[in-house]
Amino acid sequence: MEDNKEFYKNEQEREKNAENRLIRQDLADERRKNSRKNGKKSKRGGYIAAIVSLSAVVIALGTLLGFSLLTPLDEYISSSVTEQQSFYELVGYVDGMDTNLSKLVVSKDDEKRQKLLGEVRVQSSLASDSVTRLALRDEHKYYTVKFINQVSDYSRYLSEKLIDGETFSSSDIETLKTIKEINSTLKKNLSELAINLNVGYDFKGLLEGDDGDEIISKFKDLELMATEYPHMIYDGAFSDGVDGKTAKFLEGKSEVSKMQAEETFKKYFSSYGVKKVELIGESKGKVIETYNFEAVDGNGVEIYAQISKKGGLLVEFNYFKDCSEDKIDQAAAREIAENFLKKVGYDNLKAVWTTGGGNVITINFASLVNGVICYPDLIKVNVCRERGVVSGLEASSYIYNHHPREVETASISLAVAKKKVDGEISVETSRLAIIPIGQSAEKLAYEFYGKAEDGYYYIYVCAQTGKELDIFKVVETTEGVLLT
Amino acid sequence: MKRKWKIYLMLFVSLAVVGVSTAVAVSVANEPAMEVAIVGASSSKSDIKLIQQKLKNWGYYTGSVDGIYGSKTKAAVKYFQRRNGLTVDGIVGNKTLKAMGISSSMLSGGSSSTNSKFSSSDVKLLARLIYAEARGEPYQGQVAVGAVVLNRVKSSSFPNTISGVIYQPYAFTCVNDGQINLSPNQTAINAANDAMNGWDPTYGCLYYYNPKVATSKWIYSRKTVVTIGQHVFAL
Repeated sequence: MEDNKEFYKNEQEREKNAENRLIRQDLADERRKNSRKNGKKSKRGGYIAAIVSLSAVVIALGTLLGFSLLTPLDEYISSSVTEQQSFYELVGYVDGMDTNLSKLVVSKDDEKRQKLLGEVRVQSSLASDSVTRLALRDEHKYYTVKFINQVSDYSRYLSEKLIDGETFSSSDIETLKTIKEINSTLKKNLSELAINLNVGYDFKGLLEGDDGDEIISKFKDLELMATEYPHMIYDGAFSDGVDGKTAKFLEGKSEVSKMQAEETFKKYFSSYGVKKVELIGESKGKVIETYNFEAVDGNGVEIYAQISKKGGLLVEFNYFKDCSEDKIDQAAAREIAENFLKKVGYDNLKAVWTTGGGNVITINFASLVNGVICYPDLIKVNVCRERGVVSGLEASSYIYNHHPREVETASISLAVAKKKVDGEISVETSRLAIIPIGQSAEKLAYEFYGKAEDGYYYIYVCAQTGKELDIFKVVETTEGVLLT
Repeated sequence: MKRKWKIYLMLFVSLAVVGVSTAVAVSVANEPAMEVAIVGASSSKSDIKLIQQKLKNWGYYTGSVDGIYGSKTKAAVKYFQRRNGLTVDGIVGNKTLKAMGISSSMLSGGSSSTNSKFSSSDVKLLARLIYAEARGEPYQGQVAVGAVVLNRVKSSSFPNTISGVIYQPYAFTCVNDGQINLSPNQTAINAANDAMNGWDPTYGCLYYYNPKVATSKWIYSRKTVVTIGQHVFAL
């Protein structure tokens, strides 16, 4: 992180050093010449020395020339041009957003609304891209970027609502009006800035992080507008409601002491031959708080683990060593993972997915309720195939989402759901699963796995409505398989 | 005398050219591109030996590693397929090879380029950032730096892609000083993979800094979650 002023300074220093080197070379040449004049050394030796020294100078010169062709002047000019482009694009996109948001507030037709939302979404994504490319510090654009990204995410949310056959609620329209007002102010400020810049403004000021720079001071002012920004709660990744996430599995669990957590650590890793167990700190996350332990095994390899203050659960751990062999196969690795999970108190889990074909494999486990896979409750386990041990675990998704569930009964049969996907893939396996929907909801779905023309897919069909909820493509890579 | 100057001039020009091209080559040198796996036939003796060795290591095969695909080898392949949830046919096809962790580049008929350890360009870029920013840190500190990048991607106040976050102005010093272009080691690659798989010892942090060198006052105003190695991680 930190500064890029440093960079230019270093660059100048580097040049200076190179110059000094050259001067030193010249002096050396001079000295040699003088000694040749005075002394009567063999002429041949003199030439060799001259050629060698000259070539050294020439290589140094050439290298210097080569570098100066690429850095820093050209780079400087090209980044200044990039800055200009990003700035004027931002002004343009915010302007476009303004027009479409105005139309959205006026329009009563859902089809027209959907088209307008599509426009707003594209323009705000591009605006976000432009503003984040500007050489502004985080603190000078934090809320401006947040606003633009939220407009993009909120238009996606509204658009999906319309696709699902719903229409705007009165609060949606109110939110749109507020967004429109804020965006108008943003547009006004940016357009004014752009017009004023036309006379003799140099983007160098922005690049150098000059405090008096017009763009920087305008963005600083815009950050103060943040107090007027609405608190937006809707179902989307950038909803302000995401901050209110809780850890369902920790609810009702009591706090453990440092001593108890240390005992838990020693118990869980007894088979690793741990020594020098040390409490090295705490994590104070918004939702999960942990005690952090460090220890070494018999070979001095470090184990780092985080144990939750509430409930004393193993949330995460790493026991990394570069594994260069695969002494056990995947089936054996899965058994090792399953046994470890039981030992650390996570049960009723089923391996659902494996990634990494190399010497460390990651196995994803999901909880199982009455034979139904619950994908929100995921625990990931790394197994090192050289040592045949669990070398890492990550259970935060499980801790956020796991709670006693009543699995509802499906309204439509497997056969009916299968007809939905029969044209898309030739189904090889199917089962019931609970899948996450948006940020907080869950739905019961039929999972179908099968082959289409260009590969394997997972398709999820709602067990109540028969609607296709999600689709994943299986991407096979040299490292194993991925879901996209 | 004139001729000598000509020689010097030629020497100068040619060496200057060498110098320039060296500089250009150094600055544009890239790591090898990702390869696409092409699985070839596994009928050569060395390929069969490779499979036998693997099966023997894992306890499926008790015969000798002789490169002959006999009934014992076939039985071992079937046993392996059964335990690994594959179609039990005794034929070492694409899927069985994959389950054995054998990639085409390891086979004699396969492509000879290096076996890429990356599953996507994003993991590769993230591994480079981790290596450049935190290679001296403990493993969990490297995972944490990767997690901060991914938390930024998820945050509304930052770019929405990994490359956008990494190349954002002022975000990471290593982008300016060129260290981002160093080739990452296996530790950084594993840390990048873990971060991509959801490991986040910082619980959603968006910033990190080294308190010994950080100069920004603003950064100190962020709520600290955890200190790992030299870095303080903050929301």
